[in-house]
Amino acid sequence: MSRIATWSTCVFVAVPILATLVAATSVDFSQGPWGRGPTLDWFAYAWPPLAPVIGRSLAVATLVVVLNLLIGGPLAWWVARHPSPLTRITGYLVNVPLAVPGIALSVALVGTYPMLRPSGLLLVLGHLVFTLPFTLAALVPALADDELRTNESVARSLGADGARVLRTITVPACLVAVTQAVTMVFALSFGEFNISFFINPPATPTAPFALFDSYSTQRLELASAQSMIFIAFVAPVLTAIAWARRRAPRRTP
Amino acid sequence: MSTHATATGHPPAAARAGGLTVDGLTVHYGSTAAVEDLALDVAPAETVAVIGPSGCGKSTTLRAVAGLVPVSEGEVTLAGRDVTGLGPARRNIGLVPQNYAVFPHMNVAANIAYGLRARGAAADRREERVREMLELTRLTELAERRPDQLSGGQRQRVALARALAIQPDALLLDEPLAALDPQLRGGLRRELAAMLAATECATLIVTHDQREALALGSRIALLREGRLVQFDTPQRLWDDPADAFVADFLAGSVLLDAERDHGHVVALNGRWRIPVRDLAVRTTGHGTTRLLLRHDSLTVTDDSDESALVAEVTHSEFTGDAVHLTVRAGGQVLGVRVPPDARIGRSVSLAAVPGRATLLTPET
Amino acid sequence: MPLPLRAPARGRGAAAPAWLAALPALIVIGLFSAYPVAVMVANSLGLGQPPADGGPTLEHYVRAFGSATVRDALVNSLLIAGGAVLFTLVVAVPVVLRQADDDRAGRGGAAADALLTLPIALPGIIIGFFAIVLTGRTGLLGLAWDGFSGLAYTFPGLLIAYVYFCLPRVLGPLRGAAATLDPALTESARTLGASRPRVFCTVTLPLLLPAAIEAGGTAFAVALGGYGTVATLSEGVRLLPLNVANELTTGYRLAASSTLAVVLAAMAVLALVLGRVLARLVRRAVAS
Repeated sequence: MSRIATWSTCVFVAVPILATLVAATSVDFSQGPWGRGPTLDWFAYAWPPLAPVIGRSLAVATLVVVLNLLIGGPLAWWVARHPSPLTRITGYLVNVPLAVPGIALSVALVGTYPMLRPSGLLLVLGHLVFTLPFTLAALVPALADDELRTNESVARSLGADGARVLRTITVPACLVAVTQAVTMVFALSFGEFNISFFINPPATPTAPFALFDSYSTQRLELASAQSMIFIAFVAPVLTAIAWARRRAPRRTP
Repeated sequence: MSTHATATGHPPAAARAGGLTVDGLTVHYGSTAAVEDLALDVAPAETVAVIGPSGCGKSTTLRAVAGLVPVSEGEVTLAGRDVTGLGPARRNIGLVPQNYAVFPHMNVAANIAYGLRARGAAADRREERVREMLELTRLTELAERRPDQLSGGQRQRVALARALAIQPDALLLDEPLAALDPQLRGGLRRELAAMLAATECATLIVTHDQREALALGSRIALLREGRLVQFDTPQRLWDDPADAFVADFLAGSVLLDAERDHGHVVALNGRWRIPVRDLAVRTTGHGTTRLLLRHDSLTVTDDSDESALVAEVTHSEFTGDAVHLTVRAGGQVLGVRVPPDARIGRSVSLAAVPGRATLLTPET
Repeated sequence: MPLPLRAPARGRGAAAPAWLAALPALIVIGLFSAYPVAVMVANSLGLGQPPADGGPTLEHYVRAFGSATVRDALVNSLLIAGGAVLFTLVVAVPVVLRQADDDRAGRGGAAADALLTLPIALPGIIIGFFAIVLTGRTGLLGLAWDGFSGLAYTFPGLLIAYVYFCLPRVLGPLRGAAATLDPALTESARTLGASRPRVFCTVTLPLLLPAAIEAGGTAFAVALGGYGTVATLSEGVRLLPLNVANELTTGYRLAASSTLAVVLAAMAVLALVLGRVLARLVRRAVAS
């Protein structure tokens, strides 16, 4: 019974992707699957205009990941190692973008900082506050782990200085959590649409906006090809997420 | 090496109507056999302890009896019914898992009533049975408590009461004391023994603790690498172990191959000759002549006559009232207890304490 | 539990206070998350920039709730998000139980794992597009049965699209909860004579319910704010996020847009809080 449910759920998730692939490789999808024969032409048409947009989205996502680690890492460390009412309030504050719908936050951001929009700075910062909760969710439990803290103390008692402890004990122990955070943040930023809606610089849109534009203006086959290209960019990231979860340490009671 | 020992003094399994019989049981995990060709029987009201080192297949045996793992070969008979093909819900078995698995969302009374409800027992009958079980396990005061308000020992009693409430044909306990504080185990073991004595069903206890097995089992089945090594009463396992593994695992004793030579016994490839008059002599059911040495069987002697065994001291450990020496002689590791004030060099002469070492000779 | 060893005091100089490490993040969160939300609330209450807004007022709310289109969109949003989350939960429970079993047995399923996680990285617009490819006017499923044509623009079609959207968001947290269920509990229940359905109803489900409610609350909040899917399918059923965007894109009415955004946010926060509180209540009720 549960096996049937799992299989049908997998089918439910996979079928739309396969159908989009069929549409992207059909000469004329309105005449049915592979109507008037199969073709790769739509991919050839889709790629040149999409390439710079994808490149821009990759750059934004990478920047957001780096910023997440740079400012989210120390924040996670503070929350994990110095629990107090203050860190609890911080926990709520960080999660505001999860509770407030993206489109609402987008309205709020563009209303407050319209001058930061054209440069794309507002977009990066918007993605940053939206993804920070995920970084914290991955890193705080890993950093708060008792065993890790004991190991760090042992390393320090053996004469390692703070930087060395961080490099040789803390970071390796948190590698799975960091991988989880990085992949999740990357995937979320790469596909972010809601918060980006009003803060995305109009002249230089990110990939989801190019897709959205195609959905309303282009042929279904071309839009399908663009969607498949987009999925091809996030699929490896997802495999990494699944891998990281598998490698997640099993707690022994 | 391993021999199938059938218990003496018990009727053959097939002849018995009640109780639990396991015959030719084989369980595979993938391509490896966790249990192979195992035969066991537990009479009604009897308690059998299954013991062995970790990974020996004892837990798998219990799970196979409960119907929680598929059996590759052999059969499980319960109160005269062949239950091999039945699911766990239809075997009428009471299981007490290692962590007790007390349902966290039900209070003590509801936990105990669970199996009765599943069987559709009438409400008054159910309440009466729950009350009996609460009394038996001395949980009456705690009937309304939630499991997270109970101690480990109390949880164990809830699990036991829950398993016994359904009047099972067999009761299965998986490492019943392992989850408890070592300092409390002694008392709880005696308590458990008393409660088990009051039940009428066949009881199978899986444990890795020899003290638990010796204290709780009326018979002990010793497993190694999925096979039964010896199945007998605690006394006979203690007195006449099937092989060196049994002697070591159950009693920490050493079993040496030996030969009789006129008035002496020769062991360790002729390095040690002991006068037979210094030994207790018993017959063995396990073939060859062997010498059974316990911690108190040897002593350090000043005489260096021909009956002394020269051994090299590899380790000494202070145990309070004595010093425990680990010595090596002829490739064999032995244990010797000496008084704490004894002066010990790197090499010692050993002699058997008269009457403390046992010579096992085959029946003639 | 091992006692944490005390770290030896640092040799050189006084250590910087620990909160300093958190400061950059706190500044970013304060400036780009907390403050804009506060400004948004202020705008909706007529406390924005003086030229546009003339002082504290509730008239934006009165006007919003007075509008039939807003009311319809609000009801649709609640029904779609609620229905999708309920449906997703029903599907997700057997799936996570299976996954937990497989994980314990060390069985594979890495492909299924990756596949079921995939939708979390897909923006809502792609999920909306999927609906068009399969059940749009020239959709693939429409060839099999005419009834599927144009389903994407109807209420049930949108509901299915939102199930796709919710699925990974429910599966993730619920999977963690399923993994902590002790298999010995169901095994014990089985040996006590309970049938599989009975074990599910009396042991598995009660223990999983709090986590399911909490995950449902979170997914409901996210689904409520999801804009991409409905934006792609905007010619069909109207949901509240569309109105939020429209107030800005068709003649920059910041106060009206902010008002709807606040309503949307308030409902999402309510769903989150309700999910937590209800989960706690159920946990307590189930435990007694």
